[in-house]
Formats: sequence, C-alpha cells, structure tokens
Amino acid sequence: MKTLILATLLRALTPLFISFALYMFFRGHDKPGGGFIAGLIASIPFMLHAMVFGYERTRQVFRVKPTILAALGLLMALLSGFFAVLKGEPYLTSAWVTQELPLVGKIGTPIFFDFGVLLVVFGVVLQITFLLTEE
Amino acid sequence: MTILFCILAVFMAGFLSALFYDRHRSILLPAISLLFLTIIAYFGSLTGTVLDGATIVQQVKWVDTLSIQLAFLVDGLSLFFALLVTVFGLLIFLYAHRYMEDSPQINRFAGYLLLFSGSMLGLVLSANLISLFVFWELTSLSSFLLIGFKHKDEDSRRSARQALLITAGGGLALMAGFILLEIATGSGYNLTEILSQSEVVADSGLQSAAIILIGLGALTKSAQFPFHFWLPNAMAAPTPVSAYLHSATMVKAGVYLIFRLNPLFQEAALWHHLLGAAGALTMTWGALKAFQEDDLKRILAYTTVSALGILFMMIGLGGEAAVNAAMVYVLAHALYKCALFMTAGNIDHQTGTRRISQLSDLSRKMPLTATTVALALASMAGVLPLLGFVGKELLYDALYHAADPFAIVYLALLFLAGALFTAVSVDILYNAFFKTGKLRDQPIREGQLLLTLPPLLLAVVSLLTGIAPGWTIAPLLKWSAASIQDFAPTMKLKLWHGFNFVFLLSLATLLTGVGLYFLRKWLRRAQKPPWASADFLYDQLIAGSEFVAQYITGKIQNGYLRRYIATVIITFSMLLLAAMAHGQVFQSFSTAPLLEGLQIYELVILALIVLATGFLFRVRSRLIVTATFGIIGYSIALAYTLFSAPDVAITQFLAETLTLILLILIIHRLPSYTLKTSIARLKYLPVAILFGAMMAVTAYVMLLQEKDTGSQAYFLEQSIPKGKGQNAVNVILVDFRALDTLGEITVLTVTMIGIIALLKFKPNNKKA
Repeated sequence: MKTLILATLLRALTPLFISFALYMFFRGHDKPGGGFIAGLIASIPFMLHAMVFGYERTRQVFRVKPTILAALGLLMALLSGFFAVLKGEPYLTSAWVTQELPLVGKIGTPIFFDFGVLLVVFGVVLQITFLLTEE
Repeated sequence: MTILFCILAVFMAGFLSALFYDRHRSILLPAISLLFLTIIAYFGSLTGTVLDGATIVQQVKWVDTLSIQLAFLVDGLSLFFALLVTVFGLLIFLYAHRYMEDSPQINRFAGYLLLFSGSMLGLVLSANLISLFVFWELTSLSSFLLIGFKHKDEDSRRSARQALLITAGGGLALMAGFILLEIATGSGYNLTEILSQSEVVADSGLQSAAIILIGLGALTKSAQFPFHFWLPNAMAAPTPVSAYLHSATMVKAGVYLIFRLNPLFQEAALWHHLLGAAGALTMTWGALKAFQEDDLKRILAYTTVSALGILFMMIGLGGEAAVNAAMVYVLAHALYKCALFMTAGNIDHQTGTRRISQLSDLSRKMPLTATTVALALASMAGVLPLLGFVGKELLYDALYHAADPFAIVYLALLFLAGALFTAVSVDILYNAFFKTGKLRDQPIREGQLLLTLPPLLLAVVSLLTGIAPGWTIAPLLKWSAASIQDFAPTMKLKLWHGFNFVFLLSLATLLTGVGLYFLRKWLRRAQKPPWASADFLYDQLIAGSEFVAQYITGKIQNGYLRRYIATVIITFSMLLLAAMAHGQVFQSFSTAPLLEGLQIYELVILALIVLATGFLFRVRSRLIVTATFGIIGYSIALAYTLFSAPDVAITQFLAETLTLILLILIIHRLPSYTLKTSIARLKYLPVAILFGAMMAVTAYVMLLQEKDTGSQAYFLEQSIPKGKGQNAVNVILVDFRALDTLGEITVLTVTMIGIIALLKFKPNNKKA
C-alpha cells in the first residue's frame, strides 16, 4: 500500500500526533483526555507507518520492542502505588507534591500511574499492529 | 520479627543458591551452614523460656482489614519441630553438597532444598491458619520439584505429579477445613484463639465436616491409607531428598498438624476413629509391604509409611500416655530413618545399586556405614539401649494401659508391625552387610566423610539419647507433649522400666521378627492381584478423568467461533434474565419515560444505527461489514457526546478507528464466509435478537432503577480536594479506583501476550 501522499504526510504528521497525545495526556486530569486516550492517539502514526512502509521499515525506525514498552508501563503503574506503602498508607493512595511548581503545575503519583497506562496501551496496540503487518 | 526474618533468610539463601551455587560452592556452603547454625542457636536460646512453660508469640501486621495477622508461635511442640527441621536441614545440606557434587544442576537442587527448609520452618511455627496453609502448599510444591528433579526420567515425572496431585489436593481439603473453623469461631484464622474455643467449634455443627476435611489434608500429606502409595513412588527423588523430606520432615507435617489441632478435636469420637483406623491400617500394611520389597529405598519408604501410621494411631487412641509415646517416637523415627536413608544413598553412591539381592560383604568394605546401619536398624527394631527401644516401650505401655476398646486391636497390630520391622532389619543387615556374595572381590570403598559422618552422627545420637533419655530429650519433649494436651508435663523417660509385661512384649517382638525373617519366602509370595493395588487404581482414576475431559472438550471446543459466541451469549443472557426475575425488576416496568424529552437529533442517530444494522443483512463482503460496523460504532460515540460524556466519546472514536484499521489489516487473511445460504445465517438470528433485547432491557432497567448510592456525589465532590483534578472520570480512573485500572492494564498486557502466541503459532511447525 505505497501511497506517496500518505508517505509524505506521515513525516509531518508523526510529531503532530505525538504532541497531541502528550497534550491530551497532560490535560487529562482536568479536562477530557488521559493516559488511555493519549496512548491510542500516539499509536496512530506508527500504525499508518507500518501500513505504508511495511513492517520491516517500521521496526527499523522504531527500534524499541513494543512489548518492552507495555511491560515498562505496567511496571511503572505498579511501582507508582508503592510510594504510599512506604508512607504507611494503603497501596495506590495518591501522593502529591504539596506546592504547585511553576510551568509544570501539580505533580503526584497518579501522573506516573497514568503514564504507565499510556505506555501499556501504546505498546499493546503497536505490538498487535506489527504482528498483523508482519508477513 | 526474628522468626519471620529467619524464614526469609532461608528463602533468600535458596534464591542465591539457585543462581550461584555451582560457581561459588566454597563461599555458599559455609555461609548456608552458618545460617542454619545461627537459626539453631536462636531457637536454642528460646529453649529456656519454653522449658519454663511459657509460649512466645511474634506478630507482624498483615491483612489488617480482614483482621488476619502474620503470627508465629513458639511453644514446646513448634520448638521441637523447628529444631528438627533446622538440625536435620543442616546435616542434609552438608550430605547433599557431597552427594550431588557431580550433578550439573546442583544450583537447582540447592535452591529447591532451601525453599523446602524455609517453608517447613514456616509451617511448624505459624500461629495463623492462612500462613500455615501457604507454607503447607509450599512444602508440597518444593517436594514436587525435588521428586521430579531427574526430569528426563518418565518415572520421576509421574511420581512427582502423583505426589503433587495427592498432597496439594489434600491441601485444598485442608483449606476448606480451616475456613470452616474460621466460620465457627470468627477469630481471624488465629490458631491460639481457635484452639481455646473447642466448645464453640463442637456446638457449631461444623465440627464433623472440619475433622474430615482437615483429616484428609493430614492423611494425604503423611501418606496414610488410602493415600499411602505416593511416598514409595517419591523415592524417585535423589536420596538426600528422601532422607529429609520423605522421612524426617515433610511427611511429618501431617503428624504435626494433628498434634497441633488435637486439643481442638480431642473430645470428638470421629477424630479418634478416623485417625486411629487409618493409622492402624497403614501401619500394618506398610510394614508388610516393606518386607516384600528388594530396593533399599522402597523398603525404607514403606517402613516410613508404617511408622507414620503408628503416630496417627496413637493420636487416634488419645490420652496422656499415648501423646507422650508418640512424641518420643517422632524423634526416634526421625533419627534412625534419616540415618538409614543417608546410608542407603551412600551405598548407592559407592556400589551403584540399592537392591539387597545385589549387595553383600559391605561390613568389610564400608565399616563406618555398617556401624551406622547396625545402630539405626537396632533402633528401628527396638533393641535395648537405643531410642527406638524407649519409644516402642512407651507405645506398648500406652496401649496396654488404655481404656479404649480398640486398644487391644491396636496393640496386636503394633506387635505385628514391630515384628516385621525387626524382620526387615535382620534382612538388610544380614544380606547386605554380612553375607558373602557377588561384591566380595569388587573394589568398593567407604564414601567420603560428608557422606558417612552425618548419618553416623544421627545413629550415635540415637544411642546416646536411648541410654540417657531422662536428661537429654525429656525436658523438651515433655513440654512438646504438654502443649497439645491440657495437662501439666508428665513425661518421665528412662531406659529401663523393669522386667514387666511390656518388656516381655518387646522381647517377644524381636524374637517373632527373627522368626518371620525365616518365613520370608512364604511371606513374599503373598501378593495382591494387580487390579487391587492403589497405584493401579490411581492410574485408572487419572485415565478416567482424562477421558471425561477429552469428551467434554470435544463437545465444547468444536472449532466454530460463532458457536462459541452463541454459547457465551445465551448463557450470559439466561443468567441475566434469571437475576432480573429474581430481583423482581419487571414489576416496575413501563415504557412511558422512553419517549420523554426525545430530541430530533437523537432520532437521527438512532435511525443511522438501525439502517446500518439492516444493511448488514445484505452484504457478503467482510470489508463492507467492517465499514458498516464502523458506522454503528461512530454513531454510538456520537450519542456519548450528546449525553455529555466526552471522555467516553473520545475513547470510543479512537477505539473504533483503531479497530477498523486492525480489522482491515487482517481481513485479507480470512477465508470467505462459510455460511453462504441465507437460511444458514438465519439460524443465528434468534441469538442476535436475544442478546440485543437483553442488553436493551438491562440498560433500560438500570436507568429506571438508578438510585444514588452516594458514590456519584462523593466522587464529584472529592475529585478536586482529594484527587486534585477537575475531570472526575480521570481522577476515578487513576486515583480513586486505580486498582481497577491496574487490573485492566494487566489484562490488556496478558491479552497482548495471548495474541502474540496465537499469531506466532504455526501449526505443523511449517515456516510461512
């Protein structure tokens, strides 16, 4: 499925999709968005890439194994809950930096948890795509 | 905390050994020995307190919300067993270090062995039924791994599976029994609390069921009739394992359990009859089978089964004297049996065979081993200055003076078993050690020190404690016996009880045993028909369950995806229907609110969905079906946006898009539709209508029944102060209900692994 238009567009679209995914991720706590949605959005350009250029090319460009990403995400979500255990609270209780930081805003363990969700969704969708485009 | 730390340290040592033992033996062997010595010293330091009649409880916070605490208890009984586990553990580890030194997989072996040691230590010290159960199953698991250690051998694998099925299966019964105890007492599985409430348990009506279930656990673990057959088969394990797990410790776990729970059930007749009958039967049968075997290890296995039967029988008898006698016999048996197993391994190691008919002349070739075996066998037969004699005297004495009407039967059977033990001892000692035969001119030498010294040490301890039982072992054993009875310690041990009836009985046992030895040809001819052997019945049972499983699988797994889906949908709908009928939700059913406030744009979406669904019936191409489904999906997402659920809508849009792309990717790999005729497709129309109607009714009922349980308001209110986010949906996902999300992403990852397995799997191993 080599189409010149899509191939050219992808070059421009990929960073756009990624930034949009990050945007959706960070705004998720206050407005519609979040890790799950961001993970899905981030995977779209790579899916298209695999469809246009074929699995081999995408794998070379992508370098990291999607399974590793998914595993890392799961690990991150798991670990984010242990911070509370160290403080003697039930597992997965959220903990926040008390002061709002300039530019960044609120920082707390749910962000890491949500980023874990993002990575899992991203990794899983890409792995399935790669498997399906592989011949 | 210290006890928990001890157990974890042993597990840690096991983990390190499993990784590095082979390469760093010179560091790990002393380190692990030191660890064992430290633990022994620690428990030794507790002896003083326990001998004053005190108990020590160490508690660590565990599942606080269910009021379950991780607690450890040191009283006479658990201290005795803990010392047994650690002292024997150290000796066995030293022995195994030499015995397994040429094994390429010594890492694995050392790791498993230490895993077992830690679990067994935890088992005997647990003051909580949940942790006791976990350690119980861990010992079954490590036993499985060790029996199947020679995993290339089909026999080993079969034996390992058999042992696991029986002991872990019994463990499940045990768990059920523990749960019944918890229901009856409501004590948070706290052992000490449960033990103090025997009347409550007796009045609860659950007592008999609990006794049977817990009894099943103990009988399977300790290889009692009718579950006795796994233990002789477990001899497929390397010898250090047999010496440790299958003589001194793991099979004693069942004994430990009935000791431990004796105060709870000692008033119940069922408890005594169950244990007494199973014990007496196993004792007699095991002794008889031992005499018929030729392989040293199998002989020892059957005598172990028999000795465990004696212990069960004594608890079945009940009473002070019986418990005292059983406690002494536990130690006597552990000492001589472990020594015998180690020497059997030693003989195997040096001569290459364990069959008595192949052995001879060993007294001249292996003098140290011969001394050990002579002492240990003398203890097993119950010859005068050894601990086995003291134990046997106590057993006879308890049975002779007991008021129980069955005691006389038990006494007669014990006499028979004792005589058979003697006959077995004579057989081994004469034929393997003193007879001149095939091995006379073979260059056979004594094994290395680590192979000969540990068993010799145990045999010598058998002798010393036999000569002076009063001040060597009585102090600990009397508190051990007292902790499972409600009497003050009464045990007084001495070697010589005077020339009385019991002594005469002991003497007669020895003489009868020697007599039986000469009848061996006749005794060995008596064989059961093969169809009556437990092993055969076990195989039939397994084959039967495999047959049934295959039959059911053939029926259910028919290979048609649409039938699977139909089955799932019909079952689900029926269950839902039954639940709703049960909850009487249909009474308040009215269609009036359906049309209330209906907007024109909602109708448009509805029409879109209906049209697309109708269109599905006409198309034959998968691509168009997929696209049509896309329309339906997007319409639903549109509906979400109308009803102000933007998060759900975005997710639906994205999921719909991605599904479409993924479906297009696989569509060209699929075969064309198999249901070609319209009539064949109509077959599934009722299923589709049923499911659709069911979902619609469910959604509608939920809408009608919606009552604010307070959670909705709670989440909306607390989203900003507690979750620091204005988007309540996301705050619920990543904070309030983060555990649910964690579960979901785990499922997602597992699904991915499943998909990888499915797509990477190529039937017939053909490369595509």
